[in-house]
Amino acid sequence: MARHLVIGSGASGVHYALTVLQRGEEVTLLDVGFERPVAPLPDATYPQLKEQLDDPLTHFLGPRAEYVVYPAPGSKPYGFPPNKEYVFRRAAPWSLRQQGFDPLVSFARGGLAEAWTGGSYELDDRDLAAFPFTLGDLQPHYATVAKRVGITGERDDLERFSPMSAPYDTPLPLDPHSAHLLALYHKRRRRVNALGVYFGRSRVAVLTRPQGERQSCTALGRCLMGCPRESLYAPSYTLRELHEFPGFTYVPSVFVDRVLVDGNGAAIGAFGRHVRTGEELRFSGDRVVLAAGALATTRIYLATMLHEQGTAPELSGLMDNRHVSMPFVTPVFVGRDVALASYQFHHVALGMRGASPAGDVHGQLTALKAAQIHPIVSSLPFDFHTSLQVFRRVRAALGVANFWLADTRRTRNVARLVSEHGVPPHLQLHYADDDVDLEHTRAAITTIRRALRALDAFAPKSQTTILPRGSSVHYGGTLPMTREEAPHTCRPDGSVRGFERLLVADGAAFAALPAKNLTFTLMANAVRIASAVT
Amino acid sequence: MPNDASWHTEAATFGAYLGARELPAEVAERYQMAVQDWRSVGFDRFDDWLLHFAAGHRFQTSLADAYSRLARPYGDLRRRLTLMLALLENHGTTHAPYDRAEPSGAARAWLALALSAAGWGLRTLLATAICMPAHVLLSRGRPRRA
Repeated sequence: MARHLVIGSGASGVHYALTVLQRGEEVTLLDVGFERPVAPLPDATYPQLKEQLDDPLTHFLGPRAEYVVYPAPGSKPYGFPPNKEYVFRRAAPWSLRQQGFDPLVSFARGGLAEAWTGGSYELDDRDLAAFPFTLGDLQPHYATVAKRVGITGERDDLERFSPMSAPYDTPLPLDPHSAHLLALYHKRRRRVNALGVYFGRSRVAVLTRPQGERQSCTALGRCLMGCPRESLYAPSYTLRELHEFPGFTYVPSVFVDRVLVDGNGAAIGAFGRHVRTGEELRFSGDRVVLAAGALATTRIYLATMLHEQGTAPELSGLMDNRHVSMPFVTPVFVGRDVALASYQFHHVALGMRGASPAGDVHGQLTALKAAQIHPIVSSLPFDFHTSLQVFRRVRAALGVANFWLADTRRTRNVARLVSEHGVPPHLQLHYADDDVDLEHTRAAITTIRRALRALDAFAPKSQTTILPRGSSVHYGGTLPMTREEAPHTCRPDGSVRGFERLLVADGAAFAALPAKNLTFTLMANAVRIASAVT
Repeated sequence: MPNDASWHTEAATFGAYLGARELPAEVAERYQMAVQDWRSVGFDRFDDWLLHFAAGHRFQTSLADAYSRLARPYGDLRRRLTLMLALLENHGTTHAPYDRAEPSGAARAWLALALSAAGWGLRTLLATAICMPAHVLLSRGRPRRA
């Protein structure tokens, strides 16, 4: 019976593991694994939490109010709450230097997708043009993941961008602002479509019916803090499910440094260190699966090459989706009440076709509901007194369109491992041609602003922000799956060329980054790879 | 270093300015603790003056805030007011006004917005007349010690 040594408990790792466990094989999952804190008062709404907790100030702001978002140049109008600290905490051995790239990395149980807003969109043929497999190869695995995770959606205009081959659950009730925007879209579809923009319902990984230990969404408004009912999917729920299999072993507190390779180039295990004690640890397996997230997987691969060959290559093709944040106001909602009891994130999504797959744009519209208001109020251009008065009147009318552009592998964007005397090697990322899609980004901003205008929503130019590269949280391309034999690439089945029994199951193996939110595809691809492993 | 009484006065004044009728003791304590954590950040003599002026009375707070939004948007006073707002919006007895909108119908809302804007304009003019001379004068001095 094969023993799979899976590195990382993020979206890719847990779905790879579940797939092979279900067919009776064994898995050892190595993970740093910072744990999610228990959510208090699981039935309390966002405002009730403030009234019922013994110490709400510590819960929302930290013991010394260190999670307050202060006004600063370029500061975002939101912040993560203290209970999401586990998602972004760095493991001590991790060292990263970056230029032109400001990524998020997670060592949490469940990885970065613990902070996922649930957007789930199947790729289409066009998105997969650069991949060495077809949509037909991937679609059965979308269905598997949709059944495991629970994804809501309905057939609408977005189907022209994102197929609906998987089973989708009944969508969540729309918040009033989103319902208004969609209703207007249906009335003015021709005008909006003439811009090349299409709107529809967000497809989200939120349960509208109970599933196992997870309960259906009751609109507590606590999504950003981590849903206490577990309605909004996080990979740590699948990790919990893995423990039910007798062949599963979970080893937390391990920072994997490199893959152990025998004299024939076959992966036979992993070498790492205990994150607290620094103790050296070795683990064996019949197959090693890198699923630590694109950047951590890249580091493990480079450290393996450094150890095996005495030198680590420079990996080109580093990718990240360009991310634009466009706040908007819908004047007809000025003076209305705000729907705090609602799914906190996006209810509406948009698609925009480019001249080529690299030109596509995908976005999600979030109407402001439950939120920490101090970062927003302090960013308004008035004194606090006026800002509070204005904010209360316009709150229900505020929203933000977040949208992303596709990215492609280019040679100037690289990852390398840098060794300095006396210091452990660190990963260095250099995104050199950040401005390559600026013109297209600006054109997309103009078009989407016009599309919002057609829905009687206004997006002030001064408030629109092109976020630094790395903000999309979707990285990849350093070990791409290709049909052609080439060094530092993966075969279509995820196996790494130059090694035996070494697989990449996460975004590092993606040959392109389509504009759509990729988490659903990361999970489906991991299932595809696990299904093909013999 | 301010004593406990002046901390409390400052917190109560800023709380009142932001709409809290009574300031819970936990909010005042947490306010003092958090501000003490950042006191090494380099603000200058004008920041000190603005803060001192603002802590005197909530009307003075409104003037100092109006001026600092223009001249010191990331200064000490704006940080303290942001902190106070964060504490008020998360405390069990003070959060309610900050967690809701003010539904009133469109016409009343737009009228209220126009009045707010007018009030802001007048306050900013008055604030500039009072604060700008101090700003010019104190900007000639050296930064205060951390």
